[in-house]
Amino acid sequence: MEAELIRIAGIGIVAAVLAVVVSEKKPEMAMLVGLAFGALALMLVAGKAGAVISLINDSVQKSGMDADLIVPVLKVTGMAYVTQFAVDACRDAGQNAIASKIEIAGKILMLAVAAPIATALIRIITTIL
Amino acid sequence: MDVDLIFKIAAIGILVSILNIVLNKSGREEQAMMTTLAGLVVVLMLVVREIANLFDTVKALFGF
Repeated sequence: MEAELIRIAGIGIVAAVLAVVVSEKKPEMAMLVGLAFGALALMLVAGKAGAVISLINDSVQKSGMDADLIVPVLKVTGMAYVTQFAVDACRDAGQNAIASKIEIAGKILMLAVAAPIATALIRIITTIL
Repeated sequence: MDVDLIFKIAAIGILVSILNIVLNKSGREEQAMMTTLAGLVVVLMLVVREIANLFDTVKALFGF
């Protein structure tokens, strides 16, 4: 775990220096260096995230909770990561308008995924009352 | 982890900017622009593949 963090930190510093060197003449290449670093760094930690998620799934199964309830939570988390990645890339390129549109689209789609949970909650409450 | 990719992109950036300067100095502005464009497309292809990889991983991880 620590080895990966040190590796990502080191590569991040190197990528930042390279981006600054390249950005003098070619700002678009600097942005792509940042983007490539982001993709590589997140791929490196994806395995650990998978371990955590399977842990969560195990706990949910053991607790006897409805497994359908945890699926949207994980889904929204993943969507948030993807949205944030795209938004940051657009902000880096100086396109704040595109970034906020992606943000809005992400929020709407996340809400659409999360809405069934809210209705399920309301249904549970009405059965209690 | 493919650190080479970052170095590769930075190297292409430096190379393209040098080519750009040389071509501009010898009065071939159109070709200079073409090299810039070609370099950008090549790097974009590399990065897009990696990003698609990342998004596929996230998709598989969070189950959507």
